Amino acid sequence: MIHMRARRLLGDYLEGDLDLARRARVDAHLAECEECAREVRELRQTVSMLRGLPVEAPPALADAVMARIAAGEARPSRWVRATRHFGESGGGWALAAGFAALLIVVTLEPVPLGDPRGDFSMPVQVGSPVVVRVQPAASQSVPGRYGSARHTAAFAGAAAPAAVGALDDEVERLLRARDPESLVLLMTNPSRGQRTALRRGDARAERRLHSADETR
Amino acid sequence: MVETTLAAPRRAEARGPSPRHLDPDADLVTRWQEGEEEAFEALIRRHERRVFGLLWRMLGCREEAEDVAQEAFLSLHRHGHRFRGEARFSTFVYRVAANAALNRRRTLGRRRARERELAERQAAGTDLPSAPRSAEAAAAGSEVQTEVQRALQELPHDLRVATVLYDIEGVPYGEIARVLGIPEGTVKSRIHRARKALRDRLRPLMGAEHRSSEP
Repeated sequence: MIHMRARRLLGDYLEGDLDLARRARVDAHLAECEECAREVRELRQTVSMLRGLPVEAPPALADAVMARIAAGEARPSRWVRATRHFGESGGGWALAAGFAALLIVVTLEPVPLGDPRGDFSMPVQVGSPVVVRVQPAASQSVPGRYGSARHTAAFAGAAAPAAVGALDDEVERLLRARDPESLVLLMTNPSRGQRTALRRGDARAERRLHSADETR
Repeated sequence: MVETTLAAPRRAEARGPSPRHLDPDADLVTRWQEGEEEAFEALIRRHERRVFGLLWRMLGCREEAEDVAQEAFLSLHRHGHRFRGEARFSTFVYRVAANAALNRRRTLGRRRARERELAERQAAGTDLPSAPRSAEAAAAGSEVQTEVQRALQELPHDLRVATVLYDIEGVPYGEIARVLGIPEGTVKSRIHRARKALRDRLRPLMGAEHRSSEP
């Protein structure tokens, strides 16, 4: 077997994913190629090291979580409750897909100038609003501009609930942190949990938002 | 050849989509969604080891992992009404945990950069782990395990999550693909790339064994 071809098969070889004929050819190559044989030995040893890592959960993890739930910490925020219907019905998602963007403006408590949390590329205005920009399934109405059809389909399908959960968490985190560094949340590919938390004043972020506005 | 594969028996699980009646958690999930909090507690106890393990290996710090694990389960409780059983409940759990780990690493990134700068000034060139060395060594039980943990931390997020789920937690390819929203082939490719990167990083620790295993 040609050396480079054998090397490409080593991953599947190690996992036992090769058919018998190809496995036999790789075995024959390993018998005569010390470089590949060493690669296999080292990768096996690497996996062995990974599997040797001990893990045990902290004994009080479940108790701690249940105590926090009892204290009301798992209660959805008003933002989540307001948007919950999007995740509970296909109709909700279809409606959401009809909009090019959903703009939510939340006013936060004033943030003191010179707040040490993070480095701001522009001064943050006292009492400035936080803008959370969500773009659910926009490609249905504007094909090819916000994402591919595949993304849109996935967003409306089974992957959506967890992705929305992740978005909720991100928005809640931003709101809880009152972090003026992450004022703008642009969600471009919700189905895969990809989102971009962008800071206001970041030139690249502003360009992306501008571009989104123009295409809408 | 005595050993030809790394695949363990645990990987013999079904790889296709899992209807709800095949999900071992389905009964508990139903009871929880009907309002039985004890069922959610049982779900936590069933998955806490893997969730914590994933987070510990993703974040490199036991305390951070415990904190994020709590947040992940709270998030799960908050959004559990959205789980419809299209995938296994464990897939949903891993996805929430992996997202939580990614969010926490982003938050930690800037703070750790400042801490690292300070530590480097104090240690004058010493190569420090991301968490206090003595604590990590004690928790891991050996210097090799500490080095493996440090090597994991140096992997890009997408490679690390794939190899942690597969090589450490034993999650099958198909479920990882659904957790990450990528094709199975991409999962395999990421795992192989992760192993090679780890191998390069850990090769100095393999020297003695190499020499002893040479024919």
